Amino acid sequence: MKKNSKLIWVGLLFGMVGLIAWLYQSLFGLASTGMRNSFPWGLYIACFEFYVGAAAGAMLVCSLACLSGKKSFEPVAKIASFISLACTVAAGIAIFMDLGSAQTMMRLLLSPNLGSPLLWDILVLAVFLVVAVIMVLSMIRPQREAKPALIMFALVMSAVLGLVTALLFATQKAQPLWNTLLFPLDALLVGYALGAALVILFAIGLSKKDRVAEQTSSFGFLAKIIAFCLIGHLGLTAIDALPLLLGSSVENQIQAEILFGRYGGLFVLEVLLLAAAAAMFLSKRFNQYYKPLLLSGVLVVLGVFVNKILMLMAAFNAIPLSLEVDGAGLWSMPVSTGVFASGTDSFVTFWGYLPTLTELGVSLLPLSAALLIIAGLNNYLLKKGSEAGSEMESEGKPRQDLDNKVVYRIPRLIRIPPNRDNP
Amino acid sequence: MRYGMVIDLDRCIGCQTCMVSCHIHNSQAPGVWWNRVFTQGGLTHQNAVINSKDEYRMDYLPVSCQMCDKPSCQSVCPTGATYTDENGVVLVDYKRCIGCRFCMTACPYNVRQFNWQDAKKAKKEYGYEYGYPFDVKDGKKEKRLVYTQHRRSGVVEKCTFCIQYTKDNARPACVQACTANARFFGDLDKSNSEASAHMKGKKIVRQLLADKGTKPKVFYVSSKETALKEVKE
Repeated sequence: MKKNSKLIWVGLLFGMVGLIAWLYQSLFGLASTGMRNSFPWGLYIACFEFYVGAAAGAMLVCSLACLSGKKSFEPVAKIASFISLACTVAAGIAIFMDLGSAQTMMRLLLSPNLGSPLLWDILVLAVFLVVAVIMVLSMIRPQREAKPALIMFALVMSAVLGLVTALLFATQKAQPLWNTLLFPLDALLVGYALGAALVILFAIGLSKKDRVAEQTSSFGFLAKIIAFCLIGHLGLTAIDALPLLLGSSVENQIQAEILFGRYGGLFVLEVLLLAAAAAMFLSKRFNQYYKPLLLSGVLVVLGVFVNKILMLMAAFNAIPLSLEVDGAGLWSMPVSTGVFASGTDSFVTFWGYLPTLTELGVSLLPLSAALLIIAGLNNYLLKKGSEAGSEMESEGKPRQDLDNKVVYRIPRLIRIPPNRDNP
Repeated sequence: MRYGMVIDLDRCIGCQTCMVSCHIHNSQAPGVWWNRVFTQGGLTHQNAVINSKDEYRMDYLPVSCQMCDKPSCQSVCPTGATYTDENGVVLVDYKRCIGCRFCMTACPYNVRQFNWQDAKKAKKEYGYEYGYPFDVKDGKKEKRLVYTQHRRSGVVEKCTFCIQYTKDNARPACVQACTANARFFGDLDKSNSEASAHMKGKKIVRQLLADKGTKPKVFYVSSKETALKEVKE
């Protein structure tokens, strides 16, 4: 690993911009965002979903790497634990930014409704945060390695977090695009792919290019996870899309018109990005080399982000109260926007949601927190490593990277229990 | 007691008086509408549709909170801000609402309205202040704020069946204002209530999106088929 002060500076800059934008939003209300009554959840919820998926995916990678007992997986386990913690914090911030009355948040404790999926999601997120902190501590403090029971619990929690968050959406009968049996599984697969892709991106980004290590096996393992999850996601998308294409009910027609008509371009973009990433991660021509791995990882991040934003755009614009009117075809009951603006309609049947500058600025706040946590932990680890006798620097001379293969050497500060070691 | 409403589509003339009276009596901010009335299939309101029999038709659809017996908005609310009172009316406690808008995504009727901005300022900007001026609180142990003239920014609101009037046994503003006497309000558990009585003998009695399992307490009656085709009985 290399010390990365650039990431810290970028994180601080994003944090400043985000804070200013959030203060502006607090002063002028959520009217300063692009959301309206017909489109009540926007960029913040997309970010929340994105970070939750990434946190769950990174925790999966961290747990599997620890359980494998392979020393070559240690660096990946460390970075995965950092990403998992960072994304959990970012998810919490994203949901906080979205609340209209954050000052009454204590009501969640004072008068909780145990039947609400949102309350359960917040509880699961809190437990996951504790697990992520413990996992990070076990990674940065060699004398306190994670016990197998904790690693197993972390593995289970990665699935629980992904599924419970997906149930926020999947349990809503008013939103047929989400209200499917496959939605939670799909969200979990997408999250796992995203988390693993972020681990690859940060592992490469935080490593010295000229350092040699025996990391190709761990990247190959991650590439397989990502490809499997993406293929699964694309398969489930096809299964979900079939009824919309073949069904004749008013509900199906409205959804198909929105998803494949108005947002057809975004839908195709998502499928292309993720299909290309899956193919690249599967191909040995690509999955063992530095630049193709970076590119594939970026494709996954972009594809998943499109997936999260499209999920909201398509669902909210398919108005449930739609009728097939004799002589007029499909007709949706107009919805009031909630904000009067001179010269514009107060009632709409379609809301072309676009995040405002305020929204974009505010969404930098969770990103800033994530970057600062990852960079901070990385730098702390390096500082501790050098204090401990530069273990990372004394593991043999770097080999020449002859064929541009991914050959990293990342410090081994994590200690795997001796009986689990697999030399 | 189960308060409900019956809307006679044969009588509705689409004048939107109920919309406006609801807006004013409940002090809604500009752009916020608890009650909507539109022409089914019309490109704009009061725009006739030529049907397959070459007839010009203008059928209207008034929609406000359906006061569901199984409200999806209530079950998802994380703080219990949305609840059903002893009269079966679904209400929002403005003190408890954290503005997560989960209820808005859960409601299939899109009747929930969010205060995206400061309502008092928004009303002032357009030069008028209106609406019932006193707070209404509900509940024995904990007083829940279910009506206040200026809802704060960041909370969700919706139709309350005019709790400020019905608590004193008066009828909701939309029922009182309806120029065609198309709205009927009363206790659905009593067969002689205004609402129950008007449903008797009607050829078609329907609920909106009954397949969602929300069990609305707003019923639409008519003597002939309208575009509410997929609305199941």
